[in-house]
Amino acid sequence: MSTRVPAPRTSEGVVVEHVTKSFGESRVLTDLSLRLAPGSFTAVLGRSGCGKSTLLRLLAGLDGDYVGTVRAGGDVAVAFQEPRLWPWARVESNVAVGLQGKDVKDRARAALAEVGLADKARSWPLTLSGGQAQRASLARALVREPSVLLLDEPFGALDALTRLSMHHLVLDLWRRHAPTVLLVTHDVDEALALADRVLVLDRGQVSFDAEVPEERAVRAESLGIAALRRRLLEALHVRPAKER
Amino acid sequence: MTATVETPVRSGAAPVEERAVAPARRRRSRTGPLRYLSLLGLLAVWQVATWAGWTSPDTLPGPAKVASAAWDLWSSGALVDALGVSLQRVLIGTAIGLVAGLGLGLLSGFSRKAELVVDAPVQAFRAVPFTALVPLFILWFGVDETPKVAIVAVGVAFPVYINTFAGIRDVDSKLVDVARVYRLSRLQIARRVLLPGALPSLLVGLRFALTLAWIAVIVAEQLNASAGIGFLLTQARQFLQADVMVVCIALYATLGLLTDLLVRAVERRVLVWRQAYSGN
Ligand SMILES: Nc1ncnc2c1ncn2[C@@H]1O[C@H](COP(=O)(O)OP(=O)(O)O)[C@@H](O)[C@H]1O
Ligand SMILES: [Mg+2]
Repeated sequence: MSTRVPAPRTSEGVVVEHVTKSFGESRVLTDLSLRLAPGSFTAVLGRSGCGKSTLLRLLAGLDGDYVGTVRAGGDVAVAFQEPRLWPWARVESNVAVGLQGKDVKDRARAALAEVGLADKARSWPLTLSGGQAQRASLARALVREPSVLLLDEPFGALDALTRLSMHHLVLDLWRRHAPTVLLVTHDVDEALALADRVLVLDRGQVSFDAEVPEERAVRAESLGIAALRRRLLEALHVRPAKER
Repeated sequence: MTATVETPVRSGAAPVEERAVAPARRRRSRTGPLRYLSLLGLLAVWQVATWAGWTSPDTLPGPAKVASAAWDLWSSGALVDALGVSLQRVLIGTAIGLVAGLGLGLLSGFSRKAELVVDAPVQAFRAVPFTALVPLFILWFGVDETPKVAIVAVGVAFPVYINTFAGIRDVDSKLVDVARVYRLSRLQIARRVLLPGALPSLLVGLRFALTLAWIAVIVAEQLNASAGIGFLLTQARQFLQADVMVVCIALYATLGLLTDLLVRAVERRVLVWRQAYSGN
């Protein structure tokens, strides 16, 4: 008895009400409720296997087999945990999937240039490295102007410096088009640097939920952030190292 | 974008990222001639065995004798006629079998409802050696071209169907998810994801099918025909012409090889995106 209602772009953001999702006997999400304000930027943390990708699949409308209500308004764009490029289509065609209009190829190339893959537009996906493939997949999500942007550990295969520049790209897009962003990550510092709100998913429910204080630019030096970071690590059951 | 960090992205020198796989250079062209060297060696051994008298010329004539028989058959026009007849049967039968196998394979690959109707009978019949159908087809279709073409069509349709169906069902559902998120229609998903994803398997089926097409035509022609390579072979048996038999067999080998090369050429064209694999 799932209901999924497309909502107008700016009205609702994302709404999840009393959602329970099971695979056979094992229950992954348990009576989960969650609201993301339109245009907000939220990060989801949690141990692997806690149901983050499952939640994203429900939000993306890829799995209708659940109990409860999910509403994710308007167009959804997803960067999946694995790049999921079609190997038989050139990189630029992968990025342009589902885009409408005459300048589709140009937009795809521009998006590829932004992730540093301008010279790979005509390449076959199987010739890309893991990090390049992940950036192409990110370009495929960012080339759109979605009202909801779902990012499932999209920076996992990237080196630290490339990762920083991809952070800027995502923030840029968010500032320009104000989509509702849900970023799944396992990196606490990444969550605190990018998001306005951080959630922890644990045993199928939201076990921790906090606003991130301070402007993004000053967060690195903020004491409030340090305190939140400690609480987050606690919620994630990470023990601090013993003093010697 | 106003990144404060000098990004290494554009230089392509990202330190942690694994290296891109270089498209594998094809080794075929270099090993090509070498592959056939052993075949030449075999021919030499055969000729020597003939000269030495280890084999009887009545049961296994040497390469020279076979070559001269081939030349006789060629210059009399008998070989060309037989080849033309058999080739036509193979082509028409393959065309029909391909259309049927591909059509049914696509149908039951794309639709669970169609699968329910089509797949069970096909899977039940695939265990039957199709050559067993020859007598029945002669009974049904008479002695002209129809039963021969029909048997080729059946031989081709099954492997094409099975590989098309399996190819579609093996397409990674994660790749289909991408199409669903970006709202591609069912038809677009079929054309842009399922079909290209199934193509490698489909071509394997085609290669297998063409081998079976030649087997089908020779069996049909041996049982009942007045022309074709199989007929030539049957005649040679009646007149105890071992050299002509060997010519026919060599001809089959050549035809099989040529068809295989043809499909491989098609494969190289339509599966360019997979070239990155072939080196490993
Ligand atoms: N299609 C599926 N079938 C069965 N179990 C699944 C399926 N997808 C995910 N799971 C299970 O659900 C749990 C949550 O998975 P997932 O959402 O991918 O976790 P993560 O938080 O690491 O993204 C895991 O235990 C996983 O094994
Ligand atoms: Mg996951």
